[in-house]
Amino acid sequence: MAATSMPFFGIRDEDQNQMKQQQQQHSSAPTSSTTPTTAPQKKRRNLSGASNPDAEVIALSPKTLMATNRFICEVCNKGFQREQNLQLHRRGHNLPWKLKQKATNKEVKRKVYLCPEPTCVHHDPSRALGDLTGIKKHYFRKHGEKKYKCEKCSKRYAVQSDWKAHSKICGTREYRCDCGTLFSRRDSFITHRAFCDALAQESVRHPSNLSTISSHLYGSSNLNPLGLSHVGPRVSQLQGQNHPSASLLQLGNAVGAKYEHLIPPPNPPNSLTHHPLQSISSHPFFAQDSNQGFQDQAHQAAAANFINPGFFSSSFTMESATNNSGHNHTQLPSSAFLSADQFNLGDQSVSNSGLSSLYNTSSSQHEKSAMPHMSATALLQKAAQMGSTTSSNSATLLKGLGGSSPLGVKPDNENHLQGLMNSLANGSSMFGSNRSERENSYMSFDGSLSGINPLEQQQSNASFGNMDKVKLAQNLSGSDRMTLDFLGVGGGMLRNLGVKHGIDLSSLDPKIN
Amino acid sequence: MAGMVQEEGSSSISSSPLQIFSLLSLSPGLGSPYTWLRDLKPEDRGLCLIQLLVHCANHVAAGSVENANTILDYISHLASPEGDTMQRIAAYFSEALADRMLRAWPGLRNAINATKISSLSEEIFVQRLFFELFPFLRLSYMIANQAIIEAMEGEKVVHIIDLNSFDPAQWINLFKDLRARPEGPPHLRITGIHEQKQVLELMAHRLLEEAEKLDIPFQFNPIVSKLENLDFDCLRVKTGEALAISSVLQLHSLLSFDDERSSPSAPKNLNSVHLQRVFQQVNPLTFGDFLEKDVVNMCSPGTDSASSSSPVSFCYSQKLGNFLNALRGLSPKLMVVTEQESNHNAHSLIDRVTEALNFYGTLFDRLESTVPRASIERQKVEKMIFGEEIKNIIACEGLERKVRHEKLEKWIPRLELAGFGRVPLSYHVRLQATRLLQSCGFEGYKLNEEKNCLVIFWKDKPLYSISAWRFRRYS
Repeated sequence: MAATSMPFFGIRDEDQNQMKQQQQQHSSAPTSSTTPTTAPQKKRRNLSGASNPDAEVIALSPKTLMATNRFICEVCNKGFQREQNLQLHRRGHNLPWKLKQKATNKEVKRKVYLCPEPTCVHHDPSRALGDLTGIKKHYFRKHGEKKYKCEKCSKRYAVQSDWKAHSKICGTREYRCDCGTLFSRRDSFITHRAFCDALAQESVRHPSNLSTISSHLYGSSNLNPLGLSHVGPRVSQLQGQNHPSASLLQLGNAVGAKYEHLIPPPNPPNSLTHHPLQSISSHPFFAQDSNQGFQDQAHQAAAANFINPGFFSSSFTMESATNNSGHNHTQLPSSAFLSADQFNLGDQSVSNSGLSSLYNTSSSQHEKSAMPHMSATALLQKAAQMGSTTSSNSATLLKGLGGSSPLGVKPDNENHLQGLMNSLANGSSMFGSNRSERENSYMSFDGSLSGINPLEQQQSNASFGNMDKVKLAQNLSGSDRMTLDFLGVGGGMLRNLGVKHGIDLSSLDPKIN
Repeated sequence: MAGMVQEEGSSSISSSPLQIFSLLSLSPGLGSPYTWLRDLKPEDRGLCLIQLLVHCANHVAAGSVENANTILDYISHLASPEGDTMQRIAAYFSEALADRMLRAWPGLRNAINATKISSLSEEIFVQRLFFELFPFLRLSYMIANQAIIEAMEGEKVVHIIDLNSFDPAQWINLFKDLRARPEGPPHLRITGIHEQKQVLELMAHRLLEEAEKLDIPFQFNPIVSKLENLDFDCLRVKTGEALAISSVLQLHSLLSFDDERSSPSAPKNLNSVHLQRVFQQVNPLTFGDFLEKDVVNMCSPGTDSASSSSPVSFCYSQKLGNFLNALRGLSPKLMVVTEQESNHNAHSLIDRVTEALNFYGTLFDRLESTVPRASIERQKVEKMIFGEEIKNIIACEGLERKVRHEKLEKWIPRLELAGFGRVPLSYHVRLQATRLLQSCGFEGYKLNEEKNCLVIFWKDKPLYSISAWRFRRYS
C-alpha cells in the first residue's frame, strides 16, 4: 500500500512541511521533490533554548521518521538504513561513491529533533529530543499504529524492539492470585491480594463446606414441608464431623425403615470400618425411626432426596469405592432404592472433585447473575463425566440390536446409555456401525411398534402378578439387580409406571421370562 | 456385556431419575409424582434433563414411541422456555424431538402447523436481535469488509454477490470504508440474493439511500431465488470484473440431499457425468491432487462420517459441489465464508443431538450470562433462531433438513476441491476483530486462528468460523 501511494505521501509531506513552515515561519523552501529518492529533510536552523543552545533543530516529516530505508539507490531503488551501506552498494553500479568518515576534525554540530505531530509536546523546539533513534521511537509509540502484538497477552506495541522486549518477559514472572487473576508485577499482586474476595471466601469455604451441604440437603424447602426439619440440626452436627454422604445413606436407611422386615439391624458391615458410615449407624438418627410421623413422611422425603443423592453421589467421595459396594447392598438392602452403585460408583476420577467441585463450580460461575447454578455446558460435561467414568469401554459394549427379543434389547440399551454419556463427553459417535442398524428412520415407527406389541401383552400379564412391593424390593436386592442400569431395574419400574399411566413399557424389561 | 452387568456402580446415575419416578409410583398417598420434581435443585434438574433428552432421542431414533412419549412427558414437567439455561434448551429440544416423531404422521403434523403465521417484520426484528446480542455477525461483516477492501485495492469496479442479502448494515459499513480509500470509492455493484422480494426491496432502498449520502456510484441488483436454484447467468458478472462473494451461514443449506432417493456420493457417482464435469473444470494439476487425496475419503451416507478413520473425510455433496463450481466459474477474487463451527450433519440422530446440545448449550449460556431471563428479546432469539435451527437439525431429514452445520475441517476440503484457495486474513483484520471482541458487551469471546481461518470461541467452545477464499489459478 505504501509503495503504490508514495507519491501521495510525498505530496502530503510537502503540504505538512509547508504548513509547518508557515506556522513556524521557516524561511527555507522545501527541499524534497515528490519522489523520495533522497530522504526529504527539513532543516531549520533555529536555536533551541534548551540544554544546548547551539544545537541544530531538525524537524523531520512523519514520512521520514517512519521510513525504514532512508537511503535509496537511484539506480535500482533498493533501500538501505545506513548511508554507508548505500555507498557500498553504489559501487556495484559503477556509480561514484564516497564513504563519509566521522568528522572528528571539526566539531560536530549537536542536533535535536522535533516531533512532527503538532499536538505533541515535543513539537516545540524547546522540548526537542536529542536523539534520532529516540524521536523515531517516540513517534511510533505515541503517534503510530500498534502493529505488534504480544502472543501471550493482549498488549500491543508500535515499536518492534518494545515488543520483543516484552515478549521475552511476558509470562516469565507471574503471580497468580487464587481468584485466578494474573499479575506481572509484585506490588500490584500484593495489593490485590489484600482486597481479593476469593481469598476471603476460601478461608470460609472449607470448614463450612459440609454445613452448606447440610443446609442444602436438609434446610431446603424439600424437607421442611415434609417434616424432616427436626432432623436437620442433628444431621448438621453430624455433618461437621463426618462425611456428608453418610447422612444420605441414613436417608436411604430411613426409606428402608418402611420395609423394616427387609432391613437387618443397622449395623454396618465390617467392610465399612474405615468408612465414616460406621460411626453413624447407631446414630440417634435411627432412633427417630420410631417416630411415626417421620416414617410416613420418610419415604417422601427420601424419595425427594433421592434425586439429591442420586446426583451428588457421583461427586461424593467414598474413600473406598468399590469395596463397599459388594457389601452394601447385601447388608442394607434398603439402600437398594438408592442402589448402592449410586454411592460406590467406582469413578475415582470424579471422586476427587467431590463436593467441592460441585460447590466450587456453582460459586465460581461468575457469569451467573442469579443464584449460583451451573451453566448448560458445565452440566453437559458433568453428565458426560458421570456416564463416561463409569463405563469401562463402551466400544466393547457394542452389540447389534438383536432382533425383537427383549433380551436383545436390554444390553443394547445399556450400551447406548454408556455410549450416550460418552458421546456427550466426546461429542463423537461411538456406535458407528451400530447406528446404521438402529437408526430406523422415523418412518419405521409403526413397524417396530407392531413388532413389539405381541410380546408386550404377554409380558405385562406376567409382570403384574409380581408387582408386590416386597417382591419388588427383593428383586432389587439381588446383587445382579443392583448393577443394572435403569433399563434393567427401571424396566421393571417403568413397567409399573407404564401401567399406572396406561402405557406399556414392558418391552424394555429384560427380566421378563 | 457380562462384565458390565457385574460391575458395580455402573451407570447408575442415569438410572436414578427413572428409578425415582417409578419408586414414587409405588408409594401410595403421594399425589402427582411431579410435584416434587419442582423442588429439584437446578443442577439436578439440569442433569436430569440432559439424561432424559438423551434417552428420549435414543428412543425416538429406535422408533419406540411409547418410551419416548413417557420421557417427553417427564421433560415437559421440568423444562420451560422461561427457566434457566438447561430448562430452555430442554424445551426446544423436546419440541424438536416431538416434531420428529410427528413426521411419521404427516397429516397430524400438517394439521398442527396449519395456523402458523410468519411475519416478515418479526423475522427482521429477530435477526436484528441476533446481530445485537452476539458478535458473530458483526465480526463476519467486519472481516468480510476488510478482506474485500484489501483484495480490491486499486480496483475501479467492484462487484459483490451477497448470498443472503438480509442486513443492510453489512454493506453500509463497506460503503464507509470504501469512501475512505485513498483513491476514492470504486464503482460498486451489489447483487443481493434472497427468497423474499420484500426483503430485497428493503435492502435496495436502504443501500441506495446510503450510497447517495456518501456519494458512491452504486447499483443494486436484486435476485429473488432460492440459493440452490440460483441461475448464475442472472448474476450478470462481467468478465474481468473484480468479484467478491459473501456467504454468511448459507453454504450449509446446500448440503441437504434427498437421502431417500439417492446418496450424494455413492462411489457409483464417480462415473456419473456430474463428477466428470467437475473434473473437467478443474485443472489437471488438481485432478491429480484430488486422486491423491484418496477417493476413498468420499464416503457414502451409510457410514457415519464422524466414525470414519480419516478426520478430514467428508461426504461429497453434489448440490454444493455444483454450486461451488459455478461460483468458481465466475473467477471471484475473494469469497468470505462464515459458518457455524459444529458438526450437526451426522447421519445418526444421537450424534446430532449430542453435538447440538453442546453447541446450543454454549449459545444459551451466553445469553443467560448477559441477558436477564425475563427478557422477551432473549426468548425470541432462542425460539425463532435457535429453536428453529434445533428443530430442523433434529426433526427433519432429507431435503427438508437444511441446517447442516459442519466444521471447518469439512469445509476446507470441499472448497479446495472446488478450486478455491485459502486467503490468510491479514494481521490488521485480526487485530480489528480482536478489538471488537474486547469491546464492551462481548466478554468471554476469543478469536483463534486455525488453518488460516478465524474461529470465534466462547469459553473455549468454538462457535463460528470465518474464512476467506479466492479463485485459485494455475499458470
